[in-house]
Amino acid sequence: MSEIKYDITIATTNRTLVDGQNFAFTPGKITFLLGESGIGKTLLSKAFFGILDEEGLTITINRQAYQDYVKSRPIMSMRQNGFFVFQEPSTHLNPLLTLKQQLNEGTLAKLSDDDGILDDLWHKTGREVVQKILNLYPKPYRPSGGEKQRILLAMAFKKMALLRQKRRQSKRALFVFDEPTGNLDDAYRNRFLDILFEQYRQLGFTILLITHDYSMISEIYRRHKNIINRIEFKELTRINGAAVHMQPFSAERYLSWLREQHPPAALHKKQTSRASVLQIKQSFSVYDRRFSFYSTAKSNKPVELCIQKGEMVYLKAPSGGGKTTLAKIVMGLQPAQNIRFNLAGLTLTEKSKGGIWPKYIWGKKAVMAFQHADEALNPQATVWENFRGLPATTSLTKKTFKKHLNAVFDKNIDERFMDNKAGLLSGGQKQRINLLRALLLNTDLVILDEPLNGLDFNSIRKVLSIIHQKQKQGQSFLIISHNEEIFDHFVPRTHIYYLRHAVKQ
Amino acid sequence: MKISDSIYLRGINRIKSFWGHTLYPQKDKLWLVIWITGILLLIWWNAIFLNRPAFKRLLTGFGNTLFIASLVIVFTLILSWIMTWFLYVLRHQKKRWGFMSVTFVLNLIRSVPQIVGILFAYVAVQGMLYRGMISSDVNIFVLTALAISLFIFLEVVDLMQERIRYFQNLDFYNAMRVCGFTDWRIINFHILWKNSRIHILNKVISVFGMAVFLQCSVDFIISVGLSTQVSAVNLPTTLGSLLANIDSKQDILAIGYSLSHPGYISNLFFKHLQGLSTAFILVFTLLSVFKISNGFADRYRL
Amino acid sequence: MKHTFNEHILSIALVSVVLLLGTIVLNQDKKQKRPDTPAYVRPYLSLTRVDFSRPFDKALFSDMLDIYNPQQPAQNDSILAALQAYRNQTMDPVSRQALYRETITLPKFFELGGMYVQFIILYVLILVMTYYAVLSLGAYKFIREKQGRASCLYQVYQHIIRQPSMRTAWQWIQHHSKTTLLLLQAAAKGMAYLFLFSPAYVIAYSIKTRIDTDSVLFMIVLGVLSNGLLITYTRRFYTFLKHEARKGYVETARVKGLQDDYQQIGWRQIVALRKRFRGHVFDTIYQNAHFQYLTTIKEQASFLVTGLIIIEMALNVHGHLTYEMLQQLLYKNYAIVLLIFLGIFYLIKGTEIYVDWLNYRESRRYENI
Repeated sequence: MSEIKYDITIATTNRTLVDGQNFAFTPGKITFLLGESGIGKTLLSKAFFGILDEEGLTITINRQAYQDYVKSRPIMSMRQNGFFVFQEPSTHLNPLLTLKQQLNEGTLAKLSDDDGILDDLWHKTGREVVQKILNLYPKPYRPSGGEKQRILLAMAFKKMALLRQKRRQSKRALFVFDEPTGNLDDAYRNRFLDILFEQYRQLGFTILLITHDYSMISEIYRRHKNIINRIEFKELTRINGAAVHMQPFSAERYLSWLREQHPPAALHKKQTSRASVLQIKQSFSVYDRRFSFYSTAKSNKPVELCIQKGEMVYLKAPSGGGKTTLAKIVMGLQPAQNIRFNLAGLTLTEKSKGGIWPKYIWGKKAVMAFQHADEALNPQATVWENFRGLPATTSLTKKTFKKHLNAVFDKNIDERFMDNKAGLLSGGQKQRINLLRALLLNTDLVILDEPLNGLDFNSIRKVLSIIHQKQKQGQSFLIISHNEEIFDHFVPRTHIYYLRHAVKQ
Repeated sequence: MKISDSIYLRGINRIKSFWGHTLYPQKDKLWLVIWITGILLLIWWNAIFLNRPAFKRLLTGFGNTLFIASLVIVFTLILSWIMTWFLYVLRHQKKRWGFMSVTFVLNLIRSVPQIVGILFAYVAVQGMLYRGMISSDVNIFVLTALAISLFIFLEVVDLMQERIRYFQNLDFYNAMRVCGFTDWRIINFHILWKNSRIHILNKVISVFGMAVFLQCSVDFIISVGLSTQVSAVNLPTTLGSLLANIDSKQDILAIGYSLSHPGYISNLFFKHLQGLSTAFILVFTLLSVFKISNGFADRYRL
Repeated sequence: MKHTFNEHILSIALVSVVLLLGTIVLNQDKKQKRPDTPAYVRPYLSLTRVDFSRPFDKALFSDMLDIYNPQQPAQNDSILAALQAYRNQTMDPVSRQALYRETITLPKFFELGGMYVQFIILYVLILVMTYYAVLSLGAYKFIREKQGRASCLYQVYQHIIRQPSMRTAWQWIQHHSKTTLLLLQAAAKGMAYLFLFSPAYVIAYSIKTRIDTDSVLFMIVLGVLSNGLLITYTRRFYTFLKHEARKGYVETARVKGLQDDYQQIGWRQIVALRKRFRGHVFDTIYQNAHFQYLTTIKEQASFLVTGLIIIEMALNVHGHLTYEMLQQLLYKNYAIVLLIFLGIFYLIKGTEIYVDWLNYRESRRYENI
């Protein structure tokens, strides 16, 4: 079957949200859709799937009114036989029904036996544990994000199992996965890909998988070579304004770039005599759980986490494993039960008064750039307003600010850019600005929480080079990220720490 | 023929596009226009058919009511902002007892029915008037407005606190603090001004409606109660006290009478103007404020 | 939860102590201030027919006294003088108030208790009725909108701009009669809106001048329909529905193949006491919005109390609790006012505690224990 093209425009009464020209993919194939966050991947695919709520929007697809498009035969059957796994599982589950009830709603009720699917997704976890999870109501912290995500995936797999009974329609079905692996550890992610590709081989439906996780490409090239001719990598790029363009993405380009990256040799051997910027004792505890740092994945001997001037340290942990919590404790945003650390000459413990941080640390000794750039910036304020009032060492004016912006964006920034609302910027722009705000203060320590989240390939490279440059100027970095593949290539082995539950002694 | 036809069509089209694109989708503006037009029409009608003294009373009553309601808005905003900031500071300096006792008092105020609270305050104001402690009309306005806002401002405090809490749960609040922005700037500029002013404005519109309703009701109650038993000191005329006027009551009763005697309806628009206009202004204002607030909320998807 | 209850109990205790102390203090204070009229004058005070300001009545009364007690003209004169003095006193506004002074005695207390029970019954009845009406109307409004029916005014507008061919007289009549019909419909709707938004006293006085105790039914109807209570909270529930409809899990429900055609929902489901829309996406939306609405009941209840008080006070409903309160307030019998106020405060606190408990119970149902 050949490629089908769609022109999709989505607009509110005031402005065009996204104008997707040649949104195209081939039925019966697997399409990986990459691109920075906020560019409209989700909106376009929801519109295409026929599930977008029309309220307050004007949507046209191939010049056709949305109502007609949604009700057209092929789209109906594609939707009825397929499934859409939405981003952010926590908001996409009904808080008033147990997970089990939700797994057996609507057409999913036709397939009563889902044990096999759940066993597959939970791998090796005992059936009783899974049953216990199924009886839970979706609450913010329990079940965990990964568990909720797997429930949503299980729904999709149930739908696939139903397809088995009416094979003739299976070719028409479309399965959309929007960021399905954002909450999954690498092991579970790989497991999911295995199951998905296995189903695909048997039934041959169409898959659209939206992601920013570039490391998935390596995984496919490593373990699913046999299916590569059925996979298309596409990237959504912005032309100007709301207009976006879909074009092929060369997986090889990413892979070869990755191969070229080598961690710089550690500048110095670890010496405790040198002035350390951050030093955390072997273990700490929070929420009745005890965590320790280890220098290798398998080691059982806790070590001290130590960052010296001009060093970059990468902290690895399983998803939901306390990485962000640690960063927040260090920055005094969250209380710990037991911790002792040294931050730029100050010794802090769990008993330290909250007033110390605003007085000595925030913006002076350390800053932290938060995970979600679109949450970290005030979306309603302009770019300039997001910076005004920053306690920078040299007073910040619009003129000096423009210089900084030029450096981060590699080009001459328009004056008007500073008066744009931060909420209207693209994901890449937001993340660069988020980083700039942290780096502008020239503090000794910068904590970066998932600095590559939601970025396209170009932005990733740019962000990494900015960090590198600042590091050379003597700033120290603590990086927290689940993007192990890239940072393994970027940080010397001796500067990688593993955060795990403490081994009971 | 052709030319006039096209002018006609163009006119229609212009109205169509203005209505269809500007007014109809923006129901708040539509209702603002409807409200102002309605009130102006009514005043114009009254200027022709209502006798002078009554007309003057009506205008003063309406003006006073609007003035008090606007004062209530101002006081409410000031009071609630001070209270919100005070609570924020108490919470962040870990003054647990201070915070708890302030919220306790606020909850206590919440449990007093608004109308009773305002009634008590009004009686107190009257007592002060009687003893000659206050004299000018402006002072009375300020005091009554203060009394009303004291029992309304909690709604705005709740809204502001809810907004602050909402943003505290997002990363944006912590991200800014960690960069060294002052709390003052984050709370007042970034959260309250930049991200919540639409919400606050929406609340203020409904506070306006509440203020008109409560103030007129209390005035009505007091005027009715006082006129029968105890001699009163004169409070400034408002829509409520105007409505409690014995003439106005007769006028309103005429509505019910004309329902059973349809022939009488035409009299409503000439003979019974004072009471009917007062009632209409009051009800129409309440309805319009409700519609404006809804349209506003719809437009900004609150 | 425990914390909330403790706070409620603390505030109840505090307010009770303060108000009861106030009541006792004021109650004693009043006793000394009672105007003293000689005992022998009292029987004549109840002669309401006699107006002592008229010389004729006065002369007649004096003659009558002389006829009944011919032996004691001096005493008769003093009676007349005392009555005169009493009358002068009552004309003077300050001492006139003293006339209406009342204290809390046991009979008075029971009288108030009866009024209180009546008030509670009215309140609970109206609360339940508005609660049901709000849920039904909110759901109805939401479904109507989803069914894609335009508002009256918009229909008129659409109808007018359509500019159909009006060649024959029949077509002309058809077009214009439809316009009229739509306009009438819009006008009726507008009138209904005005009616629902009227403060209770406007409605009540347009129907009758005097509302008496026997018209409890009338008061319930007023309580539900007037003051904008119904419409405000219908709108509130409707916004909850709209908010929920935008949430992610509704999308998931739709993808799962739950029915999302709103034409399928019948009016029976909408007016049912326990509303369920099984197999329909709206069920998800409704249950969640309903769950959220539970906290709003508190606000609705306090608004209702305000409305009810306005009704009783503004309509001079004799023998009802809050009218009694208004009267005693004007007569400056603050002890009784405080007592009644305490009763209303208990009622509101009771509602708050009940709603909090309801919330707690409902949210526990969906808690992972």
